[in-house]
Amino acid sequence: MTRFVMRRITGGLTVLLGVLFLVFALAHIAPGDPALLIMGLESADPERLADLTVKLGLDRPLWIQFTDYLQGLLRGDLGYSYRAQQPVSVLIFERLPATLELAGAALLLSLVIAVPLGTLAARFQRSGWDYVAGLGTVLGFSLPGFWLGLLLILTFALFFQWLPASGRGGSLMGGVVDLLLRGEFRALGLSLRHLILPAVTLAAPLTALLMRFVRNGVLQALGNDYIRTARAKGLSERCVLFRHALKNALIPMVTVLGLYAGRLLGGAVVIETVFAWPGAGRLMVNAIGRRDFPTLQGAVLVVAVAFIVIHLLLDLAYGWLDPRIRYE
Amino acid sequence: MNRLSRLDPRIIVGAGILALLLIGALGASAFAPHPPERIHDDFIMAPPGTPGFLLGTDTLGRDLLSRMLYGARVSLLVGASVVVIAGIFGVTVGLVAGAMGGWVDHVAMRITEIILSFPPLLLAVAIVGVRGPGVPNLIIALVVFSWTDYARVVRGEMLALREEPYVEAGRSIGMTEAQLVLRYMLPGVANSIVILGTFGMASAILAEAALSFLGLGVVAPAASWGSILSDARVFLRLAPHLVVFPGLALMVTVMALHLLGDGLRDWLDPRSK
Repeated sequence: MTRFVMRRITGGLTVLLGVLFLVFALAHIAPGDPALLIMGLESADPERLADLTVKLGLDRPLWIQFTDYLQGLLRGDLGYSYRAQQPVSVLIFERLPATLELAGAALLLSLVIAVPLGTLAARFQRSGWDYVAGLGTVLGFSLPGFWLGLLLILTFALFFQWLPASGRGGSLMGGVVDLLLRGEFRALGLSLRHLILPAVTLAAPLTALLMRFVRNGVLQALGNDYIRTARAKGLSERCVLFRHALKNALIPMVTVLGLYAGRLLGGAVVIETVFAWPGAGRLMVNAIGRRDFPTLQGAVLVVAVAFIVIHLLLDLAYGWLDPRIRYE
Repeated sequence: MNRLSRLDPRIIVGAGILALLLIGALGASAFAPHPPERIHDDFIMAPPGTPGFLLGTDTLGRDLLSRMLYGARVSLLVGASVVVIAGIFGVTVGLVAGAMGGWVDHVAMRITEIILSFPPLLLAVAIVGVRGPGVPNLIIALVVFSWTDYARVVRGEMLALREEPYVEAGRSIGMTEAQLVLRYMLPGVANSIVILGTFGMASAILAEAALSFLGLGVVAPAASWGSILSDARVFLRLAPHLVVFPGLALMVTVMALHLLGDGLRDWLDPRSK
């Protein structure tokens, strides 16, 4: 197991270094002077610009700039936003919890929907139910996420006025703490009411993907000998389906979830804009609008690293769950 | 012939919808009732069904149907360009990596892993954000993350094909590695490339819409479905038709591509039945 873990971690580190270089290189694929871009100005007086170029080390060779950048990262320095007059790390870590809350809620929601529905679709293959589930899957793939968000706002916020159209009603954690310590439900209710529409929007395409995956996985598992054994020894159909077939179908899902986590984080960039959700994705989009380059770079980096870490953890969990993988 | 008569209905429906769309987009100048950028001052946010404006007008009084027809050009152009460029590049990388193996393969696969470490849309947003909006930058941004699919799939299939007896036979009669790859192995992976391309076009069209929605796509006054949705967002309550129709068009297009892709996969690959 130790060797397996080590191999995954070194592999992850190589990829991480490449990711860091790509993010660093973003500054150099932009048209125009990087110093101008970092300052966030369209034009500046040449002397100040020359000062800044030296101060930021932009006159030095690229690889030295890159090692400087890496050293900064090790010290927790993600750069400085000249637009917001604040360190980028402060801006990002203020907003990251909101994004993780949204993505986590969406992930949970899609698992809760997709696992039972996918299992049933496999059990009753080629039934009307399977057909409906299949249609739902295609629909989930084809719905543009931000459009679904707009339709939900139109229906539930503007027409029925049941739920708020945008914003975040305080942190979910804060709400839970309030409920537990003071028995006060108001904060949690407020934050849940704001969370529902964006979480459903973000969860829709993922639910479709997972449903198809679970259905195919269970279908494959149902063809195995151990299922026949389980049935032969008189286990109930429910036990065969959920204990034997589903459990084995779920193990490979762990790695798939890692890939999908990335889709969630990418999708969050758009969905946060639709719902004015104050997360890292919205920070990124706003930074582009303001030409606040260091903030964009920092946010891309943090989200990509979060993705790599999630992926790595799930990969390790997969090895732990399924011993065959470790010895490949 | 027998094979054609058993054509999957999904292929027919998907291809049919796409053909209609293509005709509408190419013939936009003939079909559109109005020039897409003409402003009709007396018809601001007219509802659908207003005489002369079948789908209504937008916030500046421009005909929605006309703008959507022209917008279809952008969606299809971006989708097709991304698939062709990413396909050619990715397939080449996959063929070379699969044929040469060793360190070339290792480096190529590490690069795809690095690209795949970014949530796809995130990387595109970052690239367009840095390089500025517009269709060319949009295409570049989408190609950067979509070529990896082709490279990985082609490389994987190449590894399997290398062991096939007919490839071995070709090698034993003295064919060069390049001949083997192009004449024997490329046709073997062609089906997968077509299927990947179909799904790739669907995701490119969705990504274009998302980026245009964020204001990172086409430059006004030109329209794409995503940018129409973006403009309409603020007027959701006053003019819901501006949100409903372009989104429907997007959804139907993507669904048609998915139907076509699913149908093609089952049709081209007998094993999946």
